[in-house]
Amino acid sequence: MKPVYQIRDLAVVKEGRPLISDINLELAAGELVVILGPNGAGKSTLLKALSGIETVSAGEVLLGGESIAKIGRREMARQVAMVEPMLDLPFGYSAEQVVMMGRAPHMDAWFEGAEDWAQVDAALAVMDCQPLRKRDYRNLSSGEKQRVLVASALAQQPCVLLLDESAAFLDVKHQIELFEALKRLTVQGYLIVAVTHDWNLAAAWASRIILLKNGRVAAAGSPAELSNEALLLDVFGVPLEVMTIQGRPPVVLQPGASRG
Amino acid sequence: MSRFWRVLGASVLISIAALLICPLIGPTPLDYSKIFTEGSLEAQIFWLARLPRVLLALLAGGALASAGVLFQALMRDALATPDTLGVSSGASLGAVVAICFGWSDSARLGGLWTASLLGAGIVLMIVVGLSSRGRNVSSFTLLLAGITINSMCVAIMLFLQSVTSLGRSLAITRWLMGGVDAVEYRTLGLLSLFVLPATAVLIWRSHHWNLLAVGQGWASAKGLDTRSSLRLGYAAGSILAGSVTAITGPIGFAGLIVPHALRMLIGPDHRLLLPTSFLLGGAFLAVCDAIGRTVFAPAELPVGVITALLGGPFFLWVLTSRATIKN
Repeated sequence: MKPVYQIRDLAVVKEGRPLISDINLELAAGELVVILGPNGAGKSTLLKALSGIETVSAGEVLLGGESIAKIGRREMARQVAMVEPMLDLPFGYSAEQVVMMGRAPHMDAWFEGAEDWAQVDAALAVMDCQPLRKRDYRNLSSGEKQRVLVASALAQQPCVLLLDESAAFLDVKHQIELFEALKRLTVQGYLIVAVTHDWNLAAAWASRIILLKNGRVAAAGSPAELSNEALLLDVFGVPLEVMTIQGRPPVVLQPGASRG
Repeated sequence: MSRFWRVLGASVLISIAALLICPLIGPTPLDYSKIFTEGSLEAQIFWLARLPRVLLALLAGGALASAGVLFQALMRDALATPDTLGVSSGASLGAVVAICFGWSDSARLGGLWTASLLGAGIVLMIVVGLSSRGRNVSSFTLLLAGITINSMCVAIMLFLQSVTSLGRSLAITRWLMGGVDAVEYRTLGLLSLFVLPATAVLIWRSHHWNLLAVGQGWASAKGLDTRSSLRLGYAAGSILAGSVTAITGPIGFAGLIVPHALRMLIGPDHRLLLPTSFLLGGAFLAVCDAIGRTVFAPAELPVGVITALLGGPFFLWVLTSRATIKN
């Protein structure tokens, strides 16, 4: 499959400190890539560099063969949608209006057209949000908000979906539902890149995990390939015990281990 | 779509009603049968005193309410208005400087307008600078900054007033009272040349304010060039607040009540919120002014007194109700 993203020698430097450096990756359509790593490893910075929000200090990020520095914001938003971790609104937009904002990069008219409504309906359906559509976004639960935000990203009709800690505020059921929905989207040809802290979510659904440490790629591969206790100890700084359950390698947290 | 036109149509009707009824209200009762008689006292009162005054109130109230809606979206805060952010004080200071140095005498209104617009623009830049320092400046920080800028502007105005000549000092006092006195139609025409295009641009760009009201990161992720949108917004906001303040003087809280009430009634979509705020903000100020010239007739209360007496408690109510939600 043709790679969607080609990342070459990417570095982002802020205030003289490199946040990420020497990143070389190729990401293809149909992948569900999960970026894992300790706090400050550069996960969100890498995601922002992919979305074009972060200014790249060195190297380049190519999207469909074209450097994203040369792609305008509007064109970028038609190809790549970013889902923010947890978004609070100051005003009472309805869930439907929040999703409709995803049509912004496609809308030229002042009123939304039939195509815009069709895309909003479809996005709401995919994320199972139709019952919420008229409700005030501010009154939704964290899980419902997250689903509405993903729906808004889908309404952009992108080919890439970037998620930053989207599962962090969700309960177990909604975490599973979110990743099941993401998995279905990859089947349709989306590239999905998700940042999370949860190894077990990654192990269950990721087609590829990228482990970051101190802004560099420590390892990349399938969950099974990375289920190496020595590697995880090196990256996270605490011993984690890898088990294999139904062919998946979840980890077990060890109380008191951080002192040892 | 049909709801959009219904709500907009109702707003148009309300402001037309305000335009037709408010000129009849005042110390001298008028009615429409007499005002078309050439040379009569009633006709003079209507065409030279009341109508320009109501038109000014409609324009000024509309402009201040639109600016309020805009600042609330850009600062993501329902309490941001030209006066709570200090932008109106900046415009006032500019105008006072112009009066003080006699710029307003020489070139008619040109100097006063320029100084007022500059004052509004400079203060807005300061506030924007403060709010973009941190990623999430709390609304309290912004409001405190507004209060501080307010006090500083007032201090400089008092200083200028005390060192200038008696005649100019009186002109400043008169101007600072804030009100929609009868003006020439030429001045009204000039004011509409500033207010109407600025409002039209804001309405045309409603989608941008919707996206920016959610957040700058969000707007840029949805494909908006946030830099140029913000610049356009700040320019339009300064023009609205500055040009109106140059004519009317400071009118407190005019941009607060109407946008807030409308947002609760019809929702926060700026495509509808902006035009209705402009129409009903104008009607609101015209009605306030009609009250101001009747309650203590024949004495007149400046409209700024009425809006501050209504707006102050409203502001406190919004502030406290929001605090309880957060806790």
